[in-house]
Amino acid sequence: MRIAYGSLVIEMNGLEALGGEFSRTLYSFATKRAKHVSVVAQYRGHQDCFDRQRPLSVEVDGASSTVRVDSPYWDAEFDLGTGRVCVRFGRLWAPAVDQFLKTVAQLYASRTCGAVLLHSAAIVIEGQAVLFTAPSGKGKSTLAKISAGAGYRILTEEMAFVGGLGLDEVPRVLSLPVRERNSLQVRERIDLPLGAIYSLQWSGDDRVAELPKSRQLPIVLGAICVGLRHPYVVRPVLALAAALVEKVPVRVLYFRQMPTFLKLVCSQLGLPAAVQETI
Amino acid sequence: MRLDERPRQNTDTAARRIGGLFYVVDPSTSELHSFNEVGSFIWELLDGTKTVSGIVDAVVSSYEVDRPRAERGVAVFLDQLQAKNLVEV
Repeated sequence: MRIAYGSLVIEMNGLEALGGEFSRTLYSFATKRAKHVSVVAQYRGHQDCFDRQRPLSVEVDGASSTVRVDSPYWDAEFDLGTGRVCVRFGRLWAPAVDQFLKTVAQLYASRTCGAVLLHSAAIVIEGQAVLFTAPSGKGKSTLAKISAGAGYRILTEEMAFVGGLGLDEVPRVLSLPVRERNSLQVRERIDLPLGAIYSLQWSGDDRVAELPKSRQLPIVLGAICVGLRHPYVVRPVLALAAALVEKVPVRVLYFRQMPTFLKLVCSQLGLPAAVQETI
Repeated sequence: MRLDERPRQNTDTAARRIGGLFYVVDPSTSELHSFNEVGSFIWELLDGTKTVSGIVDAVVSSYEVDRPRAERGVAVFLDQLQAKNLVEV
């Protein structure tokens, strides 16, 4: 799999997928398959088998300086002059690859697309995308399954690509831009206005809590899958998160894992009663 | 912080205004800090050219507060910012 965004190239296991923009395949790999495949990194014409203790290098679009970004799982040096990223993973390589790919993806989404990747489930309600964010294992997939069972379209259970965050733009949930080389499959194009973001909390009842902006921003930042430990990463992400909070309501949804929450969400979106009655 | 010192925002921080209030992320800790109205007012003045005394003057002229109280409030706030590594002197 060979994935490209701009001049970013990550080569994995001999499979090829070349995207003009960041890739659904990347996330699929990062989140589902990282434990089962090895990574081959391409670096200045050399190939180097990725091993637990060996660095993965990727090439990125150039800029003007070198920055170093680290996390509990990996540290990376972004040489923005030559467009090279060197990454060294620790022993927990599978989550490290996952987190690294997400961070790089976020970096590219924010710096080149003016978009953010939100760790969230996304469902479609009357032509609007609604995002539900929660830590892993805290209800996103359950909510997606319940919504699908109630006849709602699921855009993602894991990661939503949110653009339209410019001054005069309307936030939209978009397809993770991907194009696979040698594939005839046409992916469904997603481009829906973003109606609301809910932070999920398991509860004995269904209710929604409104939040002040000061509490909305941490929710959005928490859902953005990126290590926030370098200004180069933080600045665009914070700017986009702030734009998102300004434009889209962020609320807490107390959720008892029943379809009844959908009625509440419809009501919040101001949908007509007829729609709510169909739930 | 002394009254003649000229604090400035730590250039590594990322700050954003939402609804008139500032939110600042310190990348070294990944912490998000939010300021109230007066804190946001002061944050904007931390450009390294204004003394603490000048900042106190600005607070006194913009808010209904006497100078001794403003001096204490500004000093406490700036000390907190310095302790959090959000400002440099």
